[in-house]
Amino acid sequence: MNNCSMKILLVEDDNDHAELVIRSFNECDIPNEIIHAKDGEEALIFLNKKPVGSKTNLSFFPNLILLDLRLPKIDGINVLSTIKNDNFLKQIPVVIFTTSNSPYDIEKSYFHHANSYLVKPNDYPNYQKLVNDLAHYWLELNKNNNNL
Amino acid sequence: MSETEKLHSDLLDQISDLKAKVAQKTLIESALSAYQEKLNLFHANTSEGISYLQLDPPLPIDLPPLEFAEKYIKCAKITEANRAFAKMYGFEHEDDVIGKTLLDFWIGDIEQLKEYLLPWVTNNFTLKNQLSKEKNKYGEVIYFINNTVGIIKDGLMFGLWGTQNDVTEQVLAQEKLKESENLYKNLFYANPIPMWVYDRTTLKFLEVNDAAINNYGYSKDDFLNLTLKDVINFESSKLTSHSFKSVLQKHKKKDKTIIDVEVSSHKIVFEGYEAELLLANDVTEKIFFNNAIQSLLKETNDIAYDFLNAFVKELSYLLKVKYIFVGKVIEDSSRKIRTIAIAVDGFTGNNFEYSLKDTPCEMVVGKAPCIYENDVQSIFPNDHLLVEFGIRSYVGIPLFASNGKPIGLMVAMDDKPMKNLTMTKLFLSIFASRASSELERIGIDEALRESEERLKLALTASKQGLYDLDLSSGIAKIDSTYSQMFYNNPNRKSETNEEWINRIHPEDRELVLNAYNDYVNKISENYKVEARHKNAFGEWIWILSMGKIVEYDSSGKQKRLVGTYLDITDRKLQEAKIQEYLNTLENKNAELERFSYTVSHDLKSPVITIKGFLGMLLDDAKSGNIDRLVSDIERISKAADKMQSLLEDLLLLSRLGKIVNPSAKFSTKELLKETLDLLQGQITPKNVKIIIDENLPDMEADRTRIGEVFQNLIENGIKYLGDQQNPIIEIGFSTKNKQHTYYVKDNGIGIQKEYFEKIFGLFDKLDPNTEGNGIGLAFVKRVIELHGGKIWVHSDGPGKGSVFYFTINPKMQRSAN
Repeated sequence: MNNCSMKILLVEDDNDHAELVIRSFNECDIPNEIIHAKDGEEALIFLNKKPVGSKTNLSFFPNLILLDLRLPKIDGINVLSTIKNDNFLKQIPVVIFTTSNSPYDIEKSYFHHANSYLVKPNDYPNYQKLVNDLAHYWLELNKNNNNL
Repeated sequence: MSETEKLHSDLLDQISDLKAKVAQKTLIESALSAYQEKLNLFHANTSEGISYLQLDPPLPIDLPPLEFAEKYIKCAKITEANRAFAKMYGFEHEDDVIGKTLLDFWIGDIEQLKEYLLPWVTNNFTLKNQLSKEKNKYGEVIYFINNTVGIIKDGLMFGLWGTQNDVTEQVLAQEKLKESENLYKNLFYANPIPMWVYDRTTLKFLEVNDAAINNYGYSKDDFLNLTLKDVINFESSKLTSHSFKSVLQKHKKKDKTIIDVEVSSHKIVFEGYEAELLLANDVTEKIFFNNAIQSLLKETNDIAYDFLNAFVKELSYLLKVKYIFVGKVIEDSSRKIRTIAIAVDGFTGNNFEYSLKDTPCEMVVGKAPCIYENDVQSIFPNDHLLVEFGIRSYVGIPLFASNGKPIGLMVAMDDKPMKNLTMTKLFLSIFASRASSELERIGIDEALRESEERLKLALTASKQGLYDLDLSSGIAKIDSTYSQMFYNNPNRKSETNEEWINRIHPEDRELVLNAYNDYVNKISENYKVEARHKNAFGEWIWILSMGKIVEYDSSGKQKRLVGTYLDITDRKLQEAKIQEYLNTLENKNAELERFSYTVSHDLKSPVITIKGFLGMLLDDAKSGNIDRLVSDIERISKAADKMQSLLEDLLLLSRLGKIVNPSAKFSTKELLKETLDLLQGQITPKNVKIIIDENLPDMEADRTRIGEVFQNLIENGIKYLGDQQNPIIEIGFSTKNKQHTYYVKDNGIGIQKEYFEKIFGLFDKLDPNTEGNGIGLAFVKRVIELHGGKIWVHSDGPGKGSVFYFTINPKMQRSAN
């Protein structure tokens, strides 16, 4: 592993939920850096798929994208399909992270090649555990393409 | 001459005489012995059987013949025989037959033997060439020709010589010959085919058989005075030559009628004449039949539409039958017949209707052929038509449709016994199936005409076009509506397949052709297709085309497709509109679904926030980190607010959403058990005793909703327990007029009478301080009302507990909304 910590793009409109994720990752033992996009549009700008406005493109690509489904402006499924239709970006694992456990959302996400689908737990210990497991699986156990 | 001289001379004379005599005797003796030798030689070598029977004792020949014969049989024994004789009887050596008597070889009884012997006895015991039937050693029959001569001396018979020849083969051959002669005689005389034997030179008949006599009307004597020329009708036949096979001739009977015969002749010798055996097979009927069939076929072949008329006319003419008709069962009353074709004396007659009752036809229609040779009137005395026409003979043949249903009949009648009865029946039977199919076709045509009429009326009213397509030519006859539709010209009468296809919208052509092909190839049962057609003004209109094969040609090939064209453009436009509505509705449904998902999931969000930050607060509190406390509590508070507003939205939604599902039967007790499980968290801490009536009847309702009703009512009971120390909630029912009333009874705070109604109002809470949002009882009331039931509350006042009663009526259940 290089010096750089693992980089995670968190796409989440709910600040409280984002805060919960960030804090959970902070307490995780794997070095990580979280970039927070507050809506779909911002996420695509970060990923060079939208013209630069007030926001800047990222100078790097994340090792993992945590994507909420219900997002202002451009919704999660759109963001997902844009990523998965991009020959380069499609290599980045996208984990759907949402409150919805509707079969409709799950089906649609996998249809658009989501790498994983996680439902936000509604109690804090499980939330922490999930984030920890997530980090371990995707940033440690799972062999990522480090040449991105 | 001296005495001596004379004596000497006499002596010499005597000596020389003696010498001569001796010489003669020697000569005779030697000749005799030569004869004897020759005889013996003859005996031994001749093929003739020679035997000598000795009579012991000898019999006086003057005995009465029968007595002589009888005694002779008893005393005669073979004492001499030659080898040939022995062999004739199957023996090897002549000694084997010595001592045998007549009876040893005789095949019949003694009386027959006596009979056989009598001619010999009376014929001076000499017979020539008498035939005897005897048996050999093996019992086989043998025939002999016998010659016998008795040896008689002084009035006594001592024995007899016999010679015999074996003629068994000849006799048997002759018997066979006789047998076959008899056979041929029988064949000739008893033969059903007329036969004659005539002299080849004079052509005079020499012999004639019974069939000839019976068929030609001449007696045997008549015939024997006639010649062949008197029988052959020389106007149309000629006597080509003798000895031929299967030549057609016309013969003339005694009554001058001419018959067709197929004759053969064979050369024979008859009683010394060079003769000819002539056979004449009467083929009049056969030829008549063939000619009639040919003529019928010729007359009726090209006349498909009027086959039956041509048929009955021709048949009546050919068979010389006075009346022939084809009748059809009248559809609406199977007991009546309408004639379709009728011929009288070979001419077309007038059709009529008649009732089957009491007629011979009643026995025929749907049943079996009937024939009355002469007496039909007396059998059906109530058939006035028979009487009126003086009918005596009758032949009826039933006709059946292809589906086996009786469709009509064919009848031949005459006012005298029918001459060609058998032939008539034969012809009617032969043409029965053809006539049936004609009747069927007529039925279809009639039905078609009728329906065409009806259709025309309907079409004029509904603006439907009509087409009648000839499948072989591909040209359709079209009616004025149709031609107006596509050609703006009501006078146009036909349309080709090409014009038809070109008019169909290119996108629809395949569909239409597939529908058409599927129908004519019998893949689909109906021809019914909707497609866009270009009308006379170049606009696309929607046409519903339906058709049906109504006619098949004689080989069963489809011939006519008749159908309608209905302009369904308006309907299609409306359908499109409806589809639009449906799409909108679907979109709205999807929207609603999404909305409810969104809301329910958004509802989860604040929970996650609250729980998440609470967890953090806990951690922070434990670790003494109080920096983030304020901001985290703020987050929690905001999340709670958000949740509050979301809940309000949700409640609003729940009023709009689907409320009641279709009824189904379920066990109320089981439902209550499940409900109580859900409420366990509230029941246990408050130590509430729940009593459920064991006899609660099953319900027929929306199970989930009724579950919610019970849940709300029980929850209510728990909620308003007040300071009751022994809380009891009782669920039971009462029955009145077969109507169950269910109740949930508590012993809690009770309700004041003035609030009995108000408590069921939405968001109405009696005490703002209690938990809940005030929709529970409103919800319950709504569910019960949607189940066609009523709900009400009773309480004896504050502190006296409350009872909620409700009824449901599944039949009155209203659907959602």
